[in-house]
Amino acid sequence: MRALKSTKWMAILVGIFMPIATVATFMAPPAAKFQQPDLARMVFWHLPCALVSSVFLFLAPYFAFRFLRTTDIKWDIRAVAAMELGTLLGILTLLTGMLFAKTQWGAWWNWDPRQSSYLMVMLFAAGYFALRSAFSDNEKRAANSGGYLMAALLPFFFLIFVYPRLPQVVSLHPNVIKDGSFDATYKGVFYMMLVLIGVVAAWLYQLRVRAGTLEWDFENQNAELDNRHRSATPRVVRTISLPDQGGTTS
Amino acid sequence: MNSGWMTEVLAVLRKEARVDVRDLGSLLTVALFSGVTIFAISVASFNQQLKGGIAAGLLWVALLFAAVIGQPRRFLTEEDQGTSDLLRLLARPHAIFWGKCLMGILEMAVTAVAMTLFFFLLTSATLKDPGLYALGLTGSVLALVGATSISGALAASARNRSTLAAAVALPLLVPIIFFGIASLRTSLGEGLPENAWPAAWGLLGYGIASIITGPWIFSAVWRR
Repeated sequence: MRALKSTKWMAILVGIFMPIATVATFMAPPAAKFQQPDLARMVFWHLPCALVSSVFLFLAPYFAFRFLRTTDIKWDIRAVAAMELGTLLGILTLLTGMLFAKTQWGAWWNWDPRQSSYLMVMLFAAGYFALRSAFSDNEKRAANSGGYLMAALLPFFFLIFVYPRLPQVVSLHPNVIKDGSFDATYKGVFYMMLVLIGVVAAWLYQLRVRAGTLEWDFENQNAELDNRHRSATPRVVRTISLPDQGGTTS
Repeated sequence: MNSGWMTEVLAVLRKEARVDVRDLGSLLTVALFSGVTIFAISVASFNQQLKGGIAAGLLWVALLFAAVIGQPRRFLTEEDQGTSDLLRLLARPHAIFWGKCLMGILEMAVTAVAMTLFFFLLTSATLKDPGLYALGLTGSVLALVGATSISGALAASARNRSTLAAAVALPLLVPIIFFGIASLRTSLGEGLPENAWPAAWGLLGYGIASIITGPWIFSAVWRR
């Protein structure tokens, strides 16, 4: 009941603040350093999505590590929720990034190092979900996909933090916070969007974890009931003879 | 279990070597695949001077697919043949992983050297920095074996394991591809050595890290 109440309150708060923030992104004066300043507002959505997505993509291996250490299924549920949110926000990052690239750099896809590395991170996510879908046993699924996340931690780190910043790699991406592309108002709106998208993502994550826990409990209860039912009517296997084939089978 | 871990590693290595010798099919598949790839590259680049970047990329693609075809099967066949339970009883997970990795390193090293000889024999590519090439190739072999072994171990008990092992391995190999091509390209005459040497060391570090941490991941999934 308390959970339902908090969900309702969160929905109301998001319902109020999201339209306000959206309007604010259009009201902020254009950032002069962009090629098409008026069309650069996509960055208000693009950059927070990328940052929040990265947080979830690094939380997932941590949760997987905790699962592998403790074998407590709640960590696996959290890892899946973090990966799902990270992937969803990653896809939004790619889509908003493509829109930004088209308006600012003239093409949907420029093979920019950050674009390419994020695409590869999404390939990791696809591999993770493909691996999960290949196991029917819950514990094996959790362990193997957790192992995959641990193995992917180093490549994640390389693709998100190292590769785009290598000195020999030239990127079209501006360093908007450091190079002064954003004035004070732009920065204010950007941070507001970052907080808002972060809060919405955290809320969705919480809901996903709750749904995952309920699903797990439900499956376990069903399994228990099934076992009880089976123990009440034990199977009896008797040898029978099939006269037309002349053989004996059971 | 009274045996030391080194004994177990060597026992798994011997077992893998025997399996490979008895069933030459898998070794021949890797050899044939590698040979045909290099031959195709030489035909495609006939009468042309291969630039360092292209040569490194082509050679690396051949190495990559040889590893993806050859390495994960060491774990997949245990499940296919139903020998995994026996192996679980006989050796500790880290011994199994390292034993299989050692055999994989031997096999990939031979494949990589043979590919190199074939490659320089059949194409117009020239080696400018043998030291960098040797370091890049060593790092590539270690990193490829480490990553493909982990993916093979993770996919071994899955439903569509053969396809899945390759699909899961490829994203894990992405950073290795960057480092590998960067180091081999410069050793073949294109790019700056000050960028290539850190890439080659990075590759070696990645390979060693994945082989050292691999058993931990492997043991987490192997006993279940």
